[in-house]
Amino acid sequence: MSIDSIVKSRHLTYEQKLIALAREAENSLHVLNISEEAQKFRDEGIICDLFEGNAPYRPRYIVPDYDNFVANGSKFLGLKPPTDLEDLLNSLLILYKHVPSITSFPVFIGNLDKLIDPFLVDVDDDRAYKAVRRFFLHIDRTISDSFCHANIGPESLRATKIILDVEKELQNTVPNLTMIISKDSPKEMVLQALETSMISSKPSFANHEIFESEFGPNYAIASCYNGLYVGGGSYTLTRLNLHFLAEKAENKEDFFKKWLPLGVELMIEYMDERVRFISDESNYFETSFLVKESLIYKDRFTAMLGMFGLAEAVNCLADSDQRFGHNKDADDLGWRIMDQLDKLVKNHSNPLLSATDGKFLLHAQVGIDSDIGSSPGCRIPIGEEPDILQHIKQASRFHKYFPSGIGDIFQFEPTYRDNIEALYDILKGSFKEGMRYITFYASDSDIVRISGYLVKKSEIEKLRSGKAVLKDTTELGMGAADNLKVMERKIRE
Amino acid sequence: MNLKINKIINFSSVDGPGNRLVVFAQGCNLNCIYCHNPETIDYNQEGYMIEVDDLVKKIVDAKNFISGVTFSGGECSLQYKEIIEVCKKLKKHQMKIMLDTNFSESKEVYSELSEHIEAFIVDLKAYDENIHKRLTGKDNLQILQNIERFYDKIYEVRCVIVPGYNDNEKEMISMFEFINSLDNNINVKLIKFRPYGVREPYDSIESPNDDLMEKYLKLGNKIGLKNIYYK
Repeated sequence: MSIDSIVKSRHLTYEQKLIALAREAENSLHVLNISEEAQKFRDEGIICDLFEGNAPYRPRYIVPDYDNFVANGSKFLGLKPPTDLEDLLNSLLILYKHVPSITSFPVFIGNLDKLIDPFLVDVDDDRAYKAVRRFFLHIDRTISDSFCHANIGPESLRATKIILDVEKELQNTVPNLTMIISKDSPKEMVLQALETSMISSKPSFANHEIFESEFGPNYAIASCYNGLYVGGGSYTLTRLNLHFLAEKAENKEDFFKKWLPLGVELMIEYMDERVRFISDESNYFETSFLVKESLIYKDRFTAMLGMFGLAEAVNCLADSDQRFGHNKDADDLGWRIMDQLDKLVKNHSNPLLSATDGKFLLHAQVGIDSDIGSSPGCRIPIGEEPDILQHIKQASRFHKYFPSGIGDIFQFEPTYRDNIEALYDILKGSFKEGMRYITFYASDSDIVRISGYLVKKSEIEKLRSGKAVLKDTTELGMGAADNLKVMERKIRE
Repeated sequence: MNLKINKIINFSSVDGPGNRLVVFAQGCNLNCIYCHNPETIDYNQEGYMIEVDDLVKKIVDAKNFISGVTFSGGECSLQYKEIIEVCKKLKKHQMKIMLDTNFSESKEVYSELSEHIEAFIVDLKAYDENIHKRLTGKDNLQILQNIERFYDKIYEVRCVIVPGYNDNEKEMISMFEFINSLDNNINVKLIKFRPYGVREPYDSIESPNDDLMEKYLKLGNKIGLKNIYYK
């Protein structure tokens, strides 16, 4: 969009115009050293930085240590440690307005049940519900971007139940919500969460044992479904389009010998440069009070190397009668590509990524509205989904490669509301098969999970009719509905 | 040993507790006017043979995801010997098995089956013998006796409410009193007649409305049934 069209737009809110103008200002700079080869891959859409901007002046994802904030308050914000429930929620709302990210809104707002629960002593149910309801309503109406993410679980607390009750009632798109589930999570809590997900399309479910084995206990799920260190985050997320890369190859061997190593090499070169600029030139870590007050630590940051279009890459390289998701040889080729990609990425070390021993973390990117013909991450294309059992088993095998996020989404007939235990069985089975992250929603819900974020169908219709809407993610959702067929996901009966 | 089946559904949320793998047997000994998969009635019309071992393999493959297996149909108890073989082979996997049956075979059949399965899901089409004949082509003497014999092994009794046939208070009272006299904790599921898949001319019967279903639900409660609900 030109600056003139942003200023005069009829469908952007004031806030959306402001952010769009800031993006244009940033993009008028050319401060990154990008090689000709990397730029060529960018121009061809093989490397894509997801509109991170030409001069990144904050990390893409920031995951503050909210426990520290609650324990110590904030000198910079002039806040003492909260002493009661209302005080806590008010302080958190204040802090959220000062946590930046790629979207300018916080992508992680805390393990909310754990933060809230200690403040519920001597608070009756009615007061607790009203306060938490008000808090969630405030978040939805002021953080106008669906990549804002809260976590609950794996223990069942009084606050967990209240949050689920509130989410079931409000049916808002923000915050995105993940329930972390461990082997010890009580069934009753999970059933309540599943029931909520069949009404408001959240929470999603994260497999604690998998994340903990990679990060230890101090991780969080931020933005779409990204596993990151608490008190850290990710400098950047840049993604590699395996589909377009495969189209360049003459055959499988040419892909493995030449194009995949070259794609990864140029990705790493480009990402190293973005990380360098944020770390060494932007002065973000030198100026932010989040750093000074130990809410984030530079050495807990990493960077996420994204990929997408695996299905199409496989279909392009495999024999013509072999389709990804439907044929063993095709699926095996998919795993071979991921194995190779994983090795190539782990071969590189960048000392600025000290949180992860210098390594980039792989991320299965969920796609953007302009990705026509290339599926998110390792997902089976919409319209080609196999039987759900086969689908979950196929998908689960890819999840081990992606500490910084991968997820699969399943849409169910509303009749599943009458048998939540059935969903519990499916969830449990998925985790046993090695699934890291999974989402369920009902086909008749107004809220729909586009890819890694939530949008209301009714808001898309409003935007379609030319009206401005509060959430900037509605526009992304509309594009995804038109181009990626996300409303046409298979309904599981 | 082979079973003749119409299809297998890996995941189902409507055929017993939790998520279940459902095996639809081919062939039925009743001919219900509201059958929504009439292609399963004639043993020779459709379906395919599956080796007991292959079926067991398919079930074990889904083991992590299911609360159990339900044999449905058609009428699965017509192939009870084969089903018992499957049950025996699944024993070491601690698989819970239910049979969705019309209970019209001999008591010996269900007696043998009951040693190998967790529970029966019983379709009771009508209590009144004449209504039953109009709905299914056969009487219900054996069925009612089997319900009496095996009630402690029944997970759920299901009844489809079909306007013009069994949708009257007298019939409902008789049916509810019968079940209540056995065990008032048995799950009773009242199902609205729906025209999908039903043969002509019965597909033009209208579905009963919620008010009627609600009325029968209250009637069931009044009689003493504790776990009655409708769909």
